[in-house]
Amino acid sequence: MQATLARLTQAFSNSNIKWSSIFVAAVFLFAVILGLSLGAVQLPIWNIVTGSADSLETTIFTQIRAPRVFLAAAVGASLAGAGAVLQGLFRNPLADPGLIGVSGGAALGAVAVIVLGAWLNVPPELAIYTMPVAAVFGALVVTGVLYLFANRFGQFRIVTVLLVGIAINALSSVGIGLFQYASDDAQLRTLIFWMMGSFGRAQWMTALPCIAMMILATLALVGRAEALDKLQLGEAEAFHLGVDVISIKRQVVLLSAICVGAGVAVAGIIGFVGLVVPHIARFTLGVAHRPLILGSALLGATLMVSADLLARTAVLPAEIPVGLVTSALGAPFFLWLITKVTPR
Amino acid sequence: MVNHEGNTTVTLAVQNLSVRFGTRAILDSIAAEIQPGSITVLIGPNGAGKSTLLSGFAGHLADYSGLITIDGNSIGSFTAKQLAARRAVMLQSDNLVFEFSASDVIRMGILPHANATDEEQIEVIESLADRCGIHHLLHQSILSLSGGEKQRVHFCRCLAQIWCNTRLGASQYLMLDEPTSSQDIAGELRILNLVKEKSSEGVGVLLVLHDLNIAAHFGDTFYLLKNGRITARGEAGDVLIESTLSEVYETPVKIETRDQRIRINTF
Repeated sequence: MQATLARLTQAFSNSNIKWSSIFVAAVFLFAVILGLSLGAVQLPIWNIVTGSADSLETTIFTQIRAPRVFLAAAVGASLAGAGAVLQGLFRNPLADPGLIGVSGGAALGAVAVIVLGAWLNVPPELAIYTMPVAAVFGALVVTGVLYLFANRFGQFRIVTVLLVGIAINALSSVGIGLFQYASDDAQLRTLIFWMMGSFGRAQWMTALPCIAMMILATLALVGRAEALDKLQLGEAEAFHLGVDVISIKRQVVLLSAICVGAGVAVAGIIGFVGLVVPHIARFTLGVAHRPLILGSALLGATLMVSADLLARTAVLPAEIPVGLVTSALGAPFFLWLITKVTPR
Repeated sequence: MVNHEGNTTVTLAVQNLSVRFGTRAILDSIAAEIQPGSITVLIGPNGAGKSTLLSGFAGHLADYSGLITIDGNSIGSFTAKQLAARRAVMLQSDNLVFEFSASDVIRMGILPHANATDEEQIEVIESLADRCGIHHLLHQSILSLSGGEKQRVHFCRCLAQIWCNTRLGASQYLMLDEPTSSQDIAGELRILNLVKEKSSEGVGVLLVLHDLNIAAHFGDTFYLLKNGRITARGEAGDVLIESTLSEVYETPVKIETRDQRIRINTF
């Protein structure tokens, strides 16, 4: 009797997850359709699909609207997925790629390429690739340093990672500030774009390599889900359960750096998505990393497409940087989270 | 199993094992072994090196000198996965910060190589949880449980690991670092009876215990450690001796034997 009851509960919670997933997927599709249709120019999506739209509408759709929406979805998915994974890796519910300095490191890498690239006369075709690589490298350095610190001072100091993050963010802003000081007017405009985050410059040419990197890295992280679950017990415990801890940690650090770095390379710093979304995903889909990473990616994509829609339609014909929208939503959530996770 | 020298050895052994932390010797030339079907108990004062020795047996020491072998093969030649298929380990730490359910935690012990179906997994989790007295907690968040309940969940996870490894046939080891430190008297008895049962099924058990009476009752072989050295080893009669214990613990210890049962008292 008791066993049957437990099985029913299990089945119920599984179907619960199934329905949540279907709901999240439906909301995502809705957000994408809305994102494709609305904007400075209204694009009735049905006309595009049936081919009855005029050529201007079609051009706006394929060259401006579609790359922007898909880029926003990919960046949202990969930042949220990376957030979920970093929280798991550091066993820290407050970890967020922006807060702990990973996005800052990536931005420093990207900014260095913008300024130094002009000095070194790097051809623009090559810049499409040098920038993501530099951003990923910056993110990788920061995640690696953070991990060393977390190991040195013990996993349980939730605040330590955040404090180290503050220090790293300060260092990156020194670097970015120096590059700003050294840059010309045109470069300065580009730099400001990094600081606030925007999808306004989305083009297939520049976006596609990064979108591919982000999707592949996020999927690869899903493949490490079971090891990440076991890491929650502690590193020694995970080892005792057959996880090659050192190698998994390296892979996860590299993959999440790719997620964040590629995202920052195309869209600048967009904060709090990696913090807020995984918590919502845990609430609806549970804490196991496979549904968590996939669910965070889907929710993150939804949130980012919606935030970008808001950013480009709220004050037409002008645009708000999308990073401001996500921070406005995320910062209060962060405050609430602090009251929840810090022991009284 | 036959090792490269042609000897038939089914045992988990350390030889001449030394571990240093800076200039301090945590373990100093230790020789010890765990036999299948037998309960080996490590006793000794705090800081004697018991947990470090357990880590050595578990294959988790990063830096050591000496030899650690499973069935005659060096433990360094095993991958994490291969080791996990041979032994389950329960440490004293509790690191979970996210709301995994007790059943999620136990399921982590069921390794992929066991090829257990969902049905089989649910069945084994439920029956083991029932025996550990945590069936009613299976769907609760691990964070909401008391220290003793959490400990039983982790113990149950180790039993799940042993269960799925036993399906594969190789000899098994179960290593528990103070598995009853947060238990009431009933929980303590429940855990140690299950340990005894596993050992009678052929599992080699290593226990770190502080309660000498419990150790005396459940142990087959004893290692008494102090300052990283083995002070005494053997059966209860060789190790649980008034003079030896009094000296090692630097506390007067009285031992009475009544109906072939040893009672160890400090007052």
